[in-house]
Amino acid sequence: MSDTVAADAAHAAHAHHEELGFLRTYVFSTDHKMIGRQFLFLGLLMLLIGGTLAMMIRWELAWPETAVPGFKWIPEPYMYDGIIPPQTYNALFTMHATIMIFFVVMPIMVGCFGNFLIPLMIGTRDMAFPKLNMLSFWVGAVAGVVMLASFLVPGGPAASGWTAYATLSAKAQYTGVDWGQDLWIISLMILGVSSLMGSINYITTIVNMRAPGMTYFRMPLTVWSLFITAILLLLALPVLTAALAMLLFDRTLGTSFFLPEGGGEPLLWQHMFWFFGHPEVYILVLPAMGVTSELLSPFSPGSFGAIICS
Amino acid sequence: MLRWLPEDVSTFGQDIDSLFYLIYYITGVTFILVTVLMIWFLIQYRHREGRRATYTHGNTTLEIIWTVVPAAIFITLSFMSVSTWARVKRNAPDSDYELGVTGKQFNWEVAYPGPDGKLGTDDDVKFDNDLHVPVNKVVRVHLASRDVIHSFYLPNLRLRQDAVPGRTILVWFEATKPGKYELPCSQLCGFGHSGMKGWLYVHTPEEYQKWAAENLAPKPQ
Repeated sequence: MSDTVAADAAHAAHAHHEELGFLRTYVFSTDHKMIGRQFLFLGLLMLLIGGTLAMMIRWELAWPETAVPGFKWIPEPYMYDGIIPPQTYNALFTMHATIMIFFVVMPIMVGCFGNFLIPLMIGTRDMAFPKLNMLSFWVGAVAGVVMLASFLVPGGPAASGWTAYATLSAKAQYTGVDWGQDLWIISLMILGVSSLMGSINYITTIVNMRAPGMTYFRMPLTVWSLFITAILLLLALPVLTAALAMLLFDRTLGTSFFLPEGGGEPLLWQHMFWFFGHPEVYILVLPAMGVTSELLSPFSPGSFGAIICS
Repeated sequence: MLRWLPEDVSTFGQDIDSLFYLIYYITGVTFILVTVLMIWFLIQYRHREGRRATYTHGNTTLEIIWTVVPAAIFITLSFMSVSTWARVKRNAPDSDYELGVTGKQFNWEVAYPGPDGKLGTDDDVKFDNDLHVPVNKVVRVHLASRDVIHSFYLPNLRLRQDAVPGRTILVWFEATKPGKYELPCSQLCGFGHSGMKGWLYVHTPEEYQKWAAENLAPKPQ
């Protein structure tokens, strides 16, 4: 019996070295480096879109009410022969901020650097849950598709700012945006699940899979920063997801969590949103600080760069 | 002293401005210190042939200093701002001038008590976007919103307060100089937000009496 098990294990180990097909290598990969690259390319693709929106905002500020070159094809009432109306301007800065924060900085700094560097820097072969890792990326990609789809629905995309303060965001009549805001909410809820899977994976990997001798105090600062980021994500994101669910219910099911006419409280949204929003700024900046301190020490011998940035 | 803030015509403006400038100078000095230190480190510890990196476990004294000093500054600033906050936001003085201001997409609806002298009754006299007050008098504003969150912002009076639907919030100010001051909405409130702007007219006592007689007196039946 035990021979069979041993043989199976040997077979499995052998099979592991077999060449994987295109799909398993590049698309549905469980390899942490490939998933890291996937997050990088998702982030870079969204950077182009978010950056274009920023250029349009800047164009409007520099030359108000003149046609943005190359955007004459966008139909009325979203743009008038390339000219940005107020409603679209609100949508532009809302979507620019949302895309840059959730689909550029987070995938690149947390998704890409986290997946690529953690196993290499703590001395293990891969993340603790490779399949969960793959799922985390693909759920994130679906969230991206939903967010981009909101550009195509009647009424245009969300226009209540990236903080989506209720009651402005809680009723379609206040912004004139119906489906766009709903898709914004749904997309961020899906992305929340993706980030949650990622953070559980990072924490488990760092706690359990460090190479012998890699104590917490010997762990590189980059890994420390990603570790703290993952803990913050785990604690902060479910609160945002809960708030988004309540907002979606207010918009679609007739509840009144944030609407005073039904006994709700608009400030509740702000409390819940900033319970997420405050840690979020550290989620965005910590990996960058970790990488910076990591790079400072070898490139400036004799300095104590590592201490300054920690 | 730098003078970048808009003209201050508020009785509590000086309190707020001095806090602002204090924080501004602390952060300014810190910024210069950090930048100079960083440039000096870049030059001092640049790559040189034959020099090897050294490992340091850190410096406990230094770490205690740069933790305790900012903490002490933060705590001091908090205590300093508590009294200003209480004066501006908590303890509104009594006044003969009570106004209602209600935000709605995309106007400020200003209400003065009608002949019955009470605010919030049917005979209130209402204006859109124009707020007329006398100089050197405490004015109490009962702030509300009809639809989304707006923000009542009087930069010259150093007063800003969100108008939140579902509640009435009391704010107050006392203008020290007659003039016309802007009253923009400063919380994104929809597609007309950028155009949501009112004006505060601060009158001399005589001018205010004249304006009130013309606009607030009961209309002949």
